[in-house]
Amino acid sequence: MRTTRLAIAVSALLCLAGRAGAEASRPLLLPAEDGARLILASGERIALPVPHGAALDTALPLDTGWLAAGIRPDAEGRSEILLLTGDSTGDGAVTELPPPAGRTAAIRQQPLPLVENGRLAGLLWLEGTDRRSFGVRFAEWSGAGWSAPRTVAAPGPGSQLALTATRLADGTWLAAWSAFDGTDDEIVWSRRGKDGSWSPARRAAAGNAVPDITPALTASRGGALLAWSRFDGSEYRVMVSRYRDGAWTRPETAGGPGTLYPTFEPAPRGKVWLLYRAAEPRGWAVAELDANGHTVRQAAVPSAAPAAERPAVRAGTGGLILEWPGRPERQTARWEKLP
Amino acid sequence: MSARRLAVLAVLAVLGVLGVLPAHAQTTYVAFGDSITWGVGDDPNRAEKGYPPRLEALLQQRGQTADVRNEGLPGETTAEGVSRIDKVLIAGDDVLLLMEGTNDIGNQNVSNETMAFNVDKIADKARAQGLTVTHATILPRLNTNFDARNLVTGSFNGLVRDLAWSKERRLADPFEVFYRLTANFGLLYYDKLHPNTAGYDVLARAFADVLTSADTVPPVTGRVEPANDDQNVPADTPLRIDLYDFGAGIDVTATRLVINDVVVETPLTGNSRKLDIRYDPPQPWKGVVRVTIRSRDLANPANILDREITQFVAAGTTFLRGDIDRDGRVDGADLLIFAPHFGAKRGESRYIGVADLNQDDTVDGADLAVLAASFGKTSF
Repeated sequence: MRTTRLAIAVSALLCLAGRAGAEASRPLLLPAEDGARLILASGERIALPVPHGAALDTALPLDTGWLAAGIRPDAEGRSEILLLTGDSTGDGAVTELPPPAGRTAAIRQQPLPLVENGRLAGLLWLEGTDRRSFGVRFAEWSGAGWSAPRTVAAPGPGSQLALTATRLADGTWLAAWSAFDGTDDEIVWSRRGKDGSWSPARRAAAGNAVPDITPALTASRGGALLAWSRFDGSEYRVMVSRYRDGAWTRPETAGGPGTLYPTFEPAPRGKVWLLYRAAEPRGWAVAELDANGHTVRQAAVPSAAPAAERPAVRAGTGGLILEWPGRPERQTARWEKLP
Repeated sequence: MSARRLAVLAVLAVLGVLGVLPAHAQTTYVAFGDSITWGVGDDPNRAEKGYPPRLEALLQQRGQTADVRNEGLPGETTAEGVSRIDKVLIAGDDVLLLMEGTNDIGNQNVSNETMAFNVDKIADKARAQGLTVTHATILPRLNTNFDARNLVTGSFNGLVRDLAWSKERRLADPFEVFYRLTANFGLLYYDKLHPNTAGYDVLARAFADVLTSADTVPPVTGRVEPANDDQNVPADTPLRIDLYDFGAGIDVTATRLVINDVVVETPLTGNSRKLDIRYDPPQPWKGVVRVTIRSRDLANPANILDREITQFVAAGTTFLRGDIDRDGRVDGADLLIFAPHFGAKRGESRYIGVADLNQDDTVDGADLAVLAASFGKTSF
C-alpha cells in the first residue's frame, strides 16, 4: 500500500465530517492506487494526483466545484499545506493552489478551509516546530491570493490540536481546538469578528485536571454548539456546550460512558445531528440535539470497525442509515426518544 | 521413599484435586493493546497470532508456568482502551501487559500527555483489580507520512517511561529494541505499522526478557528538552535529560554528556534507576547542537548507550544554501550527499528535496552551481 493511500484512508475518514461545520453535499475522499479519488455529490469521480508523501484529509464543495486540503512535504522536507481545487464540469482538471506564505516553522498541519457562500474565504492551520509547539494561524483568500498569515493563537505550553470551525449566522467565524495547558488538554476557542481580527484564545469551560479533547463545532440558532469528550474520572463522555452572545453555557453530558470523537453531521433543516463513537461495546451513536444542545433522541448501532473509519449518516425510513465510505457496509439505526 | 513421605504426598495430591491447594503456580498475563497486540501482519497460517502466544512459549521455556491471553483489539485508541479494560479482566488475572498508543498518534488529534494519561488510567483500573502492570513503549513507525522520523512516537514513549518509573511499574521497551538495537528494523515489518512474523518473535522476546529479568536494554531516555529536531531554541535554554534503566541500573560513574562531540562536565543527580542530567550552557547555544549520552548499565555483560539523544537548532541560526547536512559549513560532505541524486526529478525515487537547492523539482547543474557558490563557507 502506498504511503499516500494509507494516509488518506485514515485521515479522510477521520476528518470527513464536521471539520468546518456541517455542510450538505460534501465531496468524499477515497484512497486510490495512484493518489486519491474525489466523489462529488453528483456521483462524478475525480482522480486527484497526490504527490508522494502527501495526505489529503478534507474535501469541501465550492460554488465553482470543490476544494481538497491536506499536507505535503516541500522541497526541504518540511510539512507544507496542500490545496487542490477543480470544477464540476467533468473535465477532471485539478489545480493546486499555492499555500499561504510567511511560514514561521518547519511543520504546517491540519489545514482547515473556511468556505463562505460557496467560495473559499480563508484557511486556518497549525504551525510549529514540533507537535508540542503548534500555534494556530489564519490567512484570508482573496480569490487570487492569500493575505499575510496572522497568528490566532501563539504556541503555548503544549500541544494545540484538533482544529474545528463553524460560520455563525452573522457571518463571523468561530474556531475551537484542544490545547495542553501544562496539566491537561482543554478546549479553547476564538472568534473572528467582522473587522477580521481573531479574539484571544480562551477556555470554553472552567479549567479542570482531566483531558478535554477532540472538539467539534456547528452553528445553531443565534449561536453555536460545541461538542467534545471529557474524562469523567473513569471514562470519556461526550459533552455539549452552547455559545451565545460571547459566552458558553455550562457543559452538559450528551453521551454515556466511553463516548468519543464527536462530529456534527449534515442533518435535515432545523435539526442538529451529533455523531460519536461508543468505545465499549464498539459502535456509533447519533444524538439529535435541540438548538440549546439538549439531546432529543438518539440512535446507535454496533460496529466492529475502528474509530478512524467513520460512517456517513443520512435519514432513512424510521431512523438513520450509517454508511462507510468505500465499503458496502450499511446499518440502520432506530431513533429512541429520551425519557 | 519412606511410608511417611508417601503419605504426605498422597494427602497433598488429594487436597490438590479437591482444590484446597493451589493447583499450580501459573501466572496469567493479559496482553492488552491494539492491532499490534492482536497480531495484524503475522503469519496467516498461525492459529494464534501476535506476541502473546510466542511470549507464553518463551516464558514456559524459561521455567514459568504462564498463560498469556491476547486482548488486542485492532484500531483501538488509548481513550477507547480506558473503557474496554474493565470488560476484559477476569478473576485470576495476574499481570497486565500494556502497549497502546499507535492509533492515537496516527489520528493526530490528542496530545501525547493525554495518551499517557489514558495509559495510566488503564493501568490504574487493572491495579484496582489486583493485577500488577508492565508498561510497554509502542513500536516505531516505518516511513509513515506522519511522524516518519518517530519524533512524536519517541516523545510519547518517553512519557511511558516516566510513567512506569514514577508508578514503580515494570517496563518492556520494544521501541528501543526495534529502533535502536536492531540494525534494520524495517526487515521486521509487515507494513508501515505492524511487525511481520520475525518482528513478532522479537516483540515477544522483548517482553519475555523483562518478565524473566534478563536485562538486554541499555539505559533509555524519558523527557528530553530541548526535544529532538526543535528549531529556534532560545540560546540560554538549559538542557534537561531524564535517563532511566529498568533493568540492572545505570552505571552512573560511566555516564557522560557529550555536546557537539565534546565531553562536558555537569552534575548528575539521582541514582542508578533514574538520572537527572541538567546542563546550563556556559555560552549561548549557537547553530546546530548535537547532544550525545555515553553510558552503560550494570548488567553483565553491560548494555551500552552511545548515541545522539537530541539535536536542536539555536534561535537565530541561518543555513547557507548548499549546507545540505546542516552542519554550518558547505563542504565535501554536502557534495557527497548531493551527488547520488544528480539528474533526479521530483517523483522519482532518487529525488530528495534537500538536494534540489533552487526548488525547481530537478536536481541538476543549477543546484550544483548553488552549492559551488557557497563551497568552503561557514554560517555559524
